[in-house]
Amino acid sequence: MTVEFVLNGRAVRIEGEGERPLLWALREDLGLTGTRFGCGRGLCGACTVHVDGVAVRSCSLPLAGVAGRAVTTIEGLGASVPHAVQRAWLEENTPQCGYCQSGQIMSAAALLAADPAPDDAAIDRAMAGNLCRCGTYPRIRRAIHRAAALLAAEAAS
Amino acid sequence: MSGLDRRSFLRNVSVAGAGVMLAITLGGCGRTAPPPWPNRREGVLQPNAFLQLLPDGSVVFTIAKTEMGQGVMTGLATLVAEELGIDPRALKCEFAEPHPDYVDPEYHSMVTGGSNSLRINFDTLRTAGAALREMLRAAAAREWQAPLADCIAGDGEVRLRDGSRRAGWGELAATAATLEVPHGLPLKPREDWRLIGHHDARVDAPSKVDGSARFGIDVAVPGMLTAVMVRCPQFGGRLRRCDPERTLAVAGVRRVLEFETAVAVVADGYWQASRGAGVLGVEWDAGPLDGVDSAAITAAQRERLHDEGRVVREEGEAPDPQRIARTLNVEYRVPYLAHAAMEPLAAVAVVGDGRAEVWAGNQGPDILQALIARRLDIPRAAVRVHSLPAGGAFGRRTYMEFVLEAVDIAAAMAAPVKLIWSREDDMRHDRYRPAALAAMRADFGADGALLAWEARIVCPSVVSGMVPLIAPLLLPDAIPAAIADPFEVLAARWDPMNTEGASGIPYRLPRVRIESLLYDPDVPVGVWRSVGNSQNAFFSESFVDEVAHALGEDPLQFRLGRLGSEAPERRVLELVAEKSRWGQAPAGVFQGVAVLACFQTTVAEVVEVELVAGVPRVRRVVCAVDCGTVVNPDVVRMQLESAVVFALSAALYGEITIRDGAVEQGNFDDYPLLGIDECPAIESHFVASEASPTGIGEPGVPPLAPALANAVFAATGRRVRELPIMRAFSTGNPT
Ligand code: FES
Ligand code: FES
Repeated sequence: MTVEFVLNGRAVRIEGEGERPLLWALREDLGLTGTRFGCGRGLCGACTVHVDGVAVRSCSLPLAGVAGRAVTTIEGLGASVPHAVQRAWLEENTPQCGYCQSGQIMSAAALLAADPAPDDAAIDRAMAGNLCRCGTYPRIRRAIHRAAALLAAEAAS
Repeated sequence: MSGLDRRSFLRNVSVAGAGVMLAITLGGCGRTAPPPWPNRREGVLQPNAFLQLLPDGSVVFTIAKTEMGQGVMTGLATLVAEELGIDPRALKCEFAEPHPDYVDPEYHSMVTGGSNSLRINFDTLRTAGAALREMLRAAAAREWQAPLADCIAGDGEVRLRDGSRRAGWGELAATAATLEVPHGLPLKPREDWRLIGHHDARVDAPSKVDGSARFGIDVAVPGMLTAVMVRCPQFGGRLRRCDPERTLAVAGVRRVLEFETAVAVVADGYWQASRGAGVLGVEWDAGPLDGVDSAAITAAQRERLHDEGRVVREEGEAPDPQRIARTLNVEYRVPYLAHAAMEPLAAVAVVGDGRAEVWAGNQGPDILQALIARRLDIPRAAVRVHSLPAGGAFGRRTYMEFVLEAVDIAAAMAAPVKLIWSREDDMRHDRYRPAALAAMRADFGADGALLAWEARIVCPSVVSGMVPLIAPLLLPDAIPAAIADPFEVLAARWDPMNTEGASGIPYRLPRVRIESLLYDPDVPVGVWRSVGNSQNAFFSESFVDEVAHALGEDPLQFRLGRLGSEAPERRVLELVAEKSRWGQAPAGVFQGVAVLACFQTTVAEVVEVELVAGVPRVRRVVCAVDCGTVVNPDVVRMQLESAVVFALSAALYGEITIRDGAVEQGNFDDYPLLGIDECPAIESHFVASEASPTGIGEPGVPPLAPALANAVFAATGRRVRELPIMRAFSTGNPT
């Protein structure tokens, strides 16, 4: 089948089986390797992308499920200017091996879009499914608070 | 890379490094015609194996260690940049292909491990940076006919002291290339350091927040197919029969290849390959572990205690049995643990025409090169190894069988192949941190005094598994690798990793006896972040706590009272006590402490727990470290945070169990990792030091489990002698 959707602001068409997870279409057909494969079963969050602004696990989302919808990957998040989350991430020196970080950043950006000033409990709820084997959690927490402040400052100016 | 077809990859093997040699090797004296540096570009000034000055004035830094999250790129780049006087982020960092000039002098290979990267490169890389800087200054002095002392280098240019002249490094390269590479240069004195001890920003961070970082699993070459493997679940089992019919009917599946212990499914993509694998008809012949489970392994370990092992340390007289009024005799136990790096193992291989080229995150490119050469029976020079940043490793990528599998499949397919391990493969076919058991014993006199301390540790040899890896590299091609077998046997008789973390117990004790009892149930084991220290510190530092309580002493005071005034453990314990406000925790918060010196670094940790519905929850971990000169303070903090979270996952939940000779766990649902919602506050404090830098990737791991178990005892009165801790607190167990 043919699946058409909007990817990082541009219309794309993919031929192939509709049950194939979006993750592999992104990585193998479109060359967008910033979205990572970690577990394949919705257990780690490394493959997180936005579908219509909501954080979803692309390893468990059939391609057919994004037909006509808007998908944003890490490559599209800060394509023109780095997203506040990405800036905050750098300021907190967050990544270690980096493998989970695309997914962390996508989850954090979706959280901040829904809740511009999350408290620690809200961060825990939104981010608990994004595993980091390198243990960057303390910095992720600080970076989300920092990004919230950056976004608030942007909104005020 | 992506613009090249397969042919040109292979052609490049033969022309690599054929450019005109402008310079001599850094350590080249006395060597005849060293092979050209493999990463060398053409038309550059290359004073040594590590640095190339490009015509545009930028500097390429070739890194001979694996970046696997530990921040080694940043650390090593800081050393070079300090002498060059530039921002480390301005260096173009790339990973070294195998070459003698990149060999680690301690490991005789390019292995990354043992937390030694900063320590062994501290002088080498500063010297490399100084050499390039001095050549540029000398070139400016010659061009300007000015005194050398007036030519100042930094920020990508050389300028004359009075400001009258300046030139970019690119402009000076041609003149510099005519000069000899200087030797015996003085390095910048400590008081002039601008970066070492100050620079924090990781050089690899930008690519890891915009998604552009490329790992082994991301490599693509034209015409590439994707493979997955269906492996015999039982260790040592073999393929009996395979029926590929249904697999071959899956759209996108190209071929099914049978190997001795696995079947490869090769397809157009990962999903097609794994779908094909899911319907493969396959039967296995049972291996030697048929019917074996974790309980049987534990029973056999316990049985081993009846034997006499190897005494690795014995000091003081054995107490007269008459004097012993009381004995504390307890068993400690830890399970197998998986590495579970976040990037599943993956490798790309192109094989043909007597050559091979591979791409993978790996912890030893020259070892890998030698292994591939042997596998294909081709010269090492015909094998190109491209190393990529690893999405975590923790020791796992020291074992590079996944790359050999990719090579085998690519050879059979006569096409470029990417092999991707599933998470389940990774969990079930790891080289595990060994399950180990310790009999700990302390004798006390009638007056209550401690008379003797004994640890008897049952564990398989980890070192013996390293021998087959390293042998092909160190032995000349002509000698069969089988010659290494005797070394393997030797290692299996005594492996210092078996008792490391317990044998060096630093306290003054009237009698110490440490015994190593090797026992190998043939479950594959390997190096896992901090190796033997990870379990032995748990045994030893938990038992210290038990003995302190038996004597009615405060666990911190017990330790301090038995450490010499100069002991490194004393300095970190005093610091951690001060920073954690030891003994002054708020109501409902309970503290535990532990300390260990390993990889020439000493770390003490205080863990604070509180009880939530009777179950311990870690709220804060305070670390104090002595790792010599701190090169990048924030990277050291990151490594301590990382070690704490890694060790906390293991201590609370980590457990790989064996059932019928196979691993039971398969993914993050049954091998859970700590999430952000359980992550405690983590603080790091440094002991001021002017010594050379020492390891930081591993030493934060070992003290966590005992400090946690000691805190749990303080909170609940329960002594946890078996990991993971949450087992003791799961439903059904009284708390
Ligand atoms: S790869 Fe999708 S959640 Fe792990
Ligand atoms: S940074 Fe390595 S897994 Fe998160």
